[in-house]
Amino acid sequence: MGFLRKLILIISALIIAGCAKSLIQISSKKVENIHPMFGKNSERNFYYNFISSDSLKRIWTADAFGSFNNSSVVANDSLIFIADLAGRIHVFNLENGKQRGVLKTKGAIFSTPLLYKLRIYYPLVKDGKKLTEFIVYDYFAGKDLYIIEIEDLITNQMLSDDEAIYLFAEDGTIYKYDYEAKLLWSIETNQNIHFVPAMKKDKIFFGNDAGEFIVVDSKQGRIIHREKISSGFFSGASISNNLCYLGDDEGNLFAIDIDTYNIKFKTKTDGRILMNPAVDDKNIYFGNMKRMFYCIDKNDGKITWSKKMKGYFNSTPVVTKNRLFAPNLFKSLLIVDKSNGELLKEVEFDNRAKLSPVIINNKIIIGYDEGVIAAYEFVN
Amino acid sequence: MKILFKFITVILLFVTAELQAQYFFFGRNKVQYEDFDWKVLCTEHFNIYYYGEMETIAEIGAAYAEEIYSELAEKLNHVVTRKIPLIFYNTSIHFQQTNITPGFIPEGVGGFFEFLKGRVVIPSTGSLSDFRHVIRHELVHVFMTNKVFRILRDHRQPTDILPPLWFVEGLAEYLSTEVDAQAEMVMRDAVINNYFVGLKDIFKIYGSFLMYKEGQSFLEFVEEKYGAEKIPLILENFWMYKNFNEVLEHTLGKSIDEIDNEWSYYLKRKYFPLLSDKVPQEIGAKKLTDWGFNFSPVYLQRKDSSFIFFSANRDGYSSLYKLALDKNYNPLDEPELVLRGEKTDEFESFHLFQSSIDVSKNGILTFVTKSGATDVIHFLDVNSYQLIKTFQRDYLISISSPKFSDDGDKIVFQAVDQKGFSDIYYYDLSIDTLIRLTNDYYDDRDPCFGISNKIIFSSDRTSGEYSGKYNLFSVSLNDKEIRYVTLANANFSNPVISNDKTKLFFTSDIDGVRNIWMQKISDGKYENKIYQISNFFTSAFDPRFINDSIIVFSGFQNFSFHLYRKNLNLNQIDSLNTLTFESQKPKGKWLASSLHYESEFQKLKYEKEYALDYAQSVVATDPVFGTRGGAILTLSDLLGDDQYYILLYNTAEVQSDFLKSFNVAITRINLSKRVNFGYGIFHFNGRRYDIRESNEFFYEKSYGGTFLLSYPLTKFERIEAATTLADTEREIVEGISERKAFLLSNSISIVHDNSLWSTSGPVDGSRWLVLLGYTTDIKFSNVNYFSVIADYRYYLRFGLRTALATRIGIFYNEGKDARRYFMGGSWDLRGWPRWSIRGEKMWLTSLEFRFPLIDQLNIKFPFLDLGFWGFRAATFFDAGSAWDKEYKTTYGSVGVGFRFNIFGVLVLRYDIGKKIENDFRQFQPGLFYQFFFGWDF
Repeated sequence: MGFLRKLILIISALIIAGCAKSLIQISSKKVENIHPMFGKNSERNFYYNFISSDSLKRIWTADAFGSFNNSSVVANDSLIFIADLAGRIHVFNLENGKQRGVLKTKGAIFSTPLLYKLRIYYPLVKDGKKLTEFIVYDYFAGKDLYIIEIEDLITNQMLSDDEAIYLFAEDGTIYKYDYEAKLLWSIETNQNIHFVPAMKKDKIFFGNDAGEFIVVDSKQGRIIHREKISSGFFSGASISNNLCYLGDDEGNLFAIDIDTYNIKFKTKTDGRILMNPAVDDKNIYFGNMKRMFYCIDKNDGKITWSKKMKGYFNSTPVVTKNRLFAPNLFKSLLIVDKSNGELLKEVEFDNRAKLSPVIINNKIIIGYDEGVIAAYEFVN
Repeated sequence: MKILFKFITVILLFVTAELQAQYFFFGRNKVQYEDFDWKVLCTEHFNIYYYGEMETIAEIGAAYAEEIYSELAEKLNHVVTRKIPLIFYNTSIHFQQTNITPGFIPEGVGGFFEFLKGRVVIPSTGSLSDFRHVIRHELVHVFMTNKVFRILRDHRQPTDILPPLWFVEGLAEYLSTEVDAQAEMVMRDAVINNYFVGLKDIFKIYGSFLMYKEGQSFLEFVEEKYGAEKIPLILENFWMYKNFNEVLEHTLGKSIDEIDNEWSYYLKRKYFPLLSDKVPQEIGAKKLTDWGFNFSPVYLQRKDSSFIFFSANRDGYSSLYKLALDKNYNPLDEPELVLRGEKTDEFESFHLFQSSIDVSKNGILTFVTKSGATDVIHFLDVNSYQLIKTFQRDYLISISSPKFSDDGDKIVFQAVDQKGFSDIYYYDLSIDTLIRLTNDYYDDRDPCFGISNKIIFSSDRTSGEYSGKYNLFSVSLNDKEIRYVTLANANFSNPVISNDKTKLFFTSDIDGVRNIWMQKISDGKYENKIYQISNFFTSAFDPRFINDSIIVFSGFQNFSFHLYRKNLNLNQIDSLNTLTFESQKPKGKWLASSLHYESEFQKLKYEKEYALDYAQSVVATDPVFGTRGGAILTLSDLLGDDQYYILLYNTAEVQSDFLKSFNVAITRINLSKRVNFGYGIFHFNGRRYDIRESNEFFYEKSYGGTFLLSYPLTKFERIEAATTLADTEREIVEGISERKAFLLSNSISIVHDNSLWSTSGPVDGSRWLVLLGYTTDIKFSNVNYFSVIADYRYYLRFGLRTALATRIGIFYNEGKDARRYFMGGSWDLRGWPRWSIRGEKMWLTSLEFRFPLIDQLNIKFPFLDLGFWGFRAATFFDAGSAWDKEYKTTYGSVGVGFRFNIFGVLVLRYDIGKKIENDFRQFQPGLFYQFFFGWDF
């Protein structure tokens, strides 16, 4: 009978835990978001301008409910936000990993949430329907401000600029909403997109499943350039200076002038590219699904170095002044000397690394399968 | 047999430790002829298990697996992070001995992926291209199931679902092979002969080869129409919908009706134009058989008669047949059975799809069967139907396609050795000498005697531009020099030379499927030009000469294999399609993939690692017995050879009884060698119902151990022995009457089973069992009796699906406190209450006529169509009796029964009849109606 009592107690505890309130309500005066979107900014260069140590010390891990798409956390000064594929937004304290709140919804969130002032913007794809709810949540007030229904599947990463947020549907439709969730324009490109777009000079750059490179005027909502240059794009774009870099399904890395749309160079590599390249002041860095990692001169496309590594790469690495931090599907984070590709250290996880790392306040935030977020501190 | 062996053990431990002769079983045996010395090759992503001399094949397989892993990771954007166990066998014959799956593996199964522990089991068949294809096919299953699991788990959805089987197998074929002659043949046939089914009806061909190929065809259509990138997206979107058709609709952006129509149109547009210049076999040749699957015809001319001998499955067994021909080479009568296969150990299997037969001019038929541990070649005198010789070598495991020389004294054949190499052998019958003509990992097959003391054979040793294609080669018997006979970007098989040695006939898939082609021989040389003899839209196999202007062959059409006769019309040779080979033959050989660096792998001896196969626990509460719970666990090593069964439950009715009411049984079964053994310990305590008195029960506590042995003599017979020692204590009336006993039970039995089953039970063959047992109380002398059981069942087949089944059984226990047998109910004495007739002695006989009733029943609702298949019926007569000391009365029943098989796992039974009462003097008034489940006896 004692056993039964314990069983009932455990089940009750689980039910109570499962019914915990869906709420994020945080008193914060800091409006500035230091890492508001995937890739840090709309150019998505994944670059951190500091010299990093090779030594990492794990300071905490935390559990989200579902696992992650290939995305990243976003952060303001002391909080990190992450969406999962089970339709939840979690907020953790950057310093100790304690959960500060959770929003529970039914569906899946593919995109990294976007932070603007004290608001969270995220698209929730509903189960079994061609429907997405675009939700604007005020985490200071702890309530939904807007829930907009979009009859489309928003499965790609969002973009934002000073005036609006851009949503990219799987079927190629692009939506522009202002920060009060008012639709400003939408445009159909009539071809599926599985791509992380980038943006600069009021132009949105992306590739689609059919291998077309498309440029959209973000003010007018019209296509200003469309050109088939590949068999298919399932990766993402990064912009540095006047060049947009993107890799294709056949392993080609393109550098395209963002004013003339001419291909400045095309470097052939061996293997499917599924990530945004990371870009620093000299080079482009990316890995592929043939376990190769490349460093390419960002101006002429020459391969500076290439290395076969342990893991398969489909999440974007981050690059600092001296190091590369590359998550891989074989359950680790590789710390690489960016000057020559030498593997300096490997941080092993219990499962496949999924999130692109984010560096905030001397900490690198990593996520892997089963919804685990881990924070490591750089130590000397 | 091993399933039964395990089952017997579990049953023995569930019941008391006394000899339980009530439980007896039949079933065939999976004989473990080999004592495999397993080794492990550890690579980056795989643990590869192999044995004996097959190290080279294992290393090639390891290199293939690593290459394929890399390709699939990229294509599917997914990695499997655990090490994948790959278990290799050197032949299909050894593969069929695997314990990784408990069931029998039919011939033709190229490998399997076991979902519970993620094991991949693959035999090498001698063909590296087939080996690579199967590794790839099974690894697609590994990646797909792992990816689907991961996607569902990422979205926090139940992970126990998979896409439908047609997609699972179609994807594996799509990603593992291009459309080959076999796939093309099946799809052409299905579309043109109108038995192709679309997505909405694909359940109708569930589990069939056609389903594999339709699945592959559908994904090729998706690639062509919608783009290859859609295929991994189907998996990515799998979490979104419960209905897979909705996943397809979402991914492809159209309704399932539209997709289905597009696919159907795509296939019709692809295949219907073939009819403009290709012919069905029935029109391009004369069909000689009308039923079954018929293969490998060979022609024999006697003084005043002529015959075709062939192998076939015409009634559920693979066998040899003879077809008598008239002077125009038309059949005189129905084919006559020459030799029945699959009923005895000597002719266990004829390998219909893999091996051809041959006949010498002096009337000796040669053919291959599996017999015991290896294949053997038999020589049968067709005049007397007597076997005159059998050829077997321990190191030649798999043999196929023997062919006679002109004088009938020699044969050539293909065999796979212990290394897994498929090579050509030459055997001189007169001096019993065997010569190996090739010895390498290239797949050499279909040999025949050529000209100039050379053997012609098909091989994938083609190098250069057409590397890996099966061209024809010659090998000299003098110096073993190998030369090209054909050289094209196609596969060539079944060579046979004309009687006048001026023509070489063979089949080739030059135009997509296998058709018959001819190559002229002049001045002892094979010309560089070949002529197309047949132009069928489906494949032809094994052409043989009746004379220089007529051939016979086996052909596939309308999802069946038949024999055909064709006139050659060689005087119109100039009008035939031709193909000219390059005169320059490539030099050198292609090399198989291999692991290049020592650091890439590690070789280890296999150490048993046990993992959970199955675990189930339950806690139940009811108002009478309170709360009780239990669990069953099974563990086994990676190869399934060593298995542990653990049963634990508690039957306490009050809290104070909790500790003493644990029932535990632990049993180990070892299946690694031919002698299977098992042992275990048990402790049982609880309430038992006494089958002596129907409404009474007693408490019994027993503990002890048991030991079991089983030795399969052949696939069809085995000897079993069991010993159990148990200390038992019964409380029959609480506090008043008790019985203590320290029981020793021994039994030995011999079991035979070669029955052939239909959907509700056996329809052919026989099953019998004889058991002798002795049970004694070695401490208190409270129990002392012996047991005899004899059970015989015979099935006389009248037609393909009708049979007369008979059974007679005698069950006899004699001695102090002997156990009782019981009968009554749908399984034995029908009409009588279940298990109501009881006694220490029992006899039972049944006679039953089994026949098909309704083949298909469709019900069309406005919202749903339902289809039911395979209703069967039987008329029966049962008689029997049970008694303790004195014979009492004879019971009986007659009636009719209906049987319905649900998904192949359960048969529902409904019987109507009359009991025969009062010592067989009267029928009961009215009728009895009995509904139950279970297979026919």
